[in-house]
Amino acid sequence: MIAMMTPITRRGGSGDRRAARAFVRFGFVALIALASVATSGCGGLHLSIGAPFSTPVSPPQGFLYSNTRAPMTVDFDNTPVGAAAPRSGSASSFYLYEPFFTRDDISVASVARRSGIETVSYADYETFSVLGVFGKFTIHVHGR
Amino acid sequence: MKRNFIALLLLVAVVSAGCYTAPVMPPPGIAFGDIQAPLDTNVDRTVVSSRSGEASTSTFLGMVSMGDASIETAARNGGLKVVHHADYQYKNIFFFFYQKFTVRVYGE
Repeated sequence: MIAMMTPITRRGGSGDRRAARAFVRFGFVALIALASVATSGCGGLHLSIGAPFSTPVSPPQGFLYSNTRAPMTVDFDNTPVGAAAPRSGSASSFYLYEPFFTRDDISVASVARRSGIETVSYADYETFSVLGVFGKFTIHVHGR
Repeated sequence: MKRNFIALLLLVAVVSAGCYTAPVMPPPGIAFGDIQAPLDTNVDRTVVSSRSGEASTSTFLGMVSMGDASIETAARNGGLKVVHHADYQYKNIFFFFYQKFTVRVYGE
C-alpha cells in the first residue's frame, strides 16, 4: 500500500495529486483498522515479533530495544519480600532469533540450588532485546 | 515521502509492538486506555492492605521499552516486607505511541 503511493505522488499532476491524497486517506484508514486489530489482539491475538518467550505477565515490548523487568510469579500469600527474603539468584538464557540451538537451565530449582536458597518466596524475570534479533532472558529468584 | 515514513513507522510499531499479557485482561482501549486489573488471582482469605508499592515500565512508539516493574522493586518502593496481593495498571495513549505498565503490590 505504501509502496503504491510513492510513484503517484511523484508525477505531480493535479489529478494524480487527488489520487495521491485519496491513497493517503485510504492508508490512514487502513492503518487505523490495522491498529484496531492489533490492539484488540491484547485480548488474545498476538502480533508481537521478536519476543520468543512466554511468561504469565509481560509488559509491552519495544521493537528496536527492550530492557524490562516484570513479575514471574503472581500468587502471593503473605509472601516475604525485601529483607524478609534476603537471598537471590539469577540465571540467563541468550538467544539469537530464531534460536536454532539452545541449551540453558534457568529453572527455579537450579537457580535456588546454586544460590543457596532453601525457601523460594517469589521470582521476577528480565528481558533484554535488540531488534528482536539478539536477546537475553533472565530469571531472578528470591527467598531465604 | 515524510508522510510515508511516518505511516511506515506507525505500521511497524503497531504490528511489532504487540501488547502486554497478564492473567486478567479487561477489554483494552484502542485510542486511549487506562485500566487496573488483578495480577494475583488467588485471593482466598487474602488480607487487604492499604500499604502498597509500585514499579513500572514504559514503551515509546512501540519501538523502545524500558523499566523495572518487578515485584522486588515494587516492594522496595513501598517499604514492604510481606506481599498479600498484587494488581497492575496499563495505560496506552493514541494506540501504541505511549504505553505504561505498572505493577502494584499490597502488603505490610
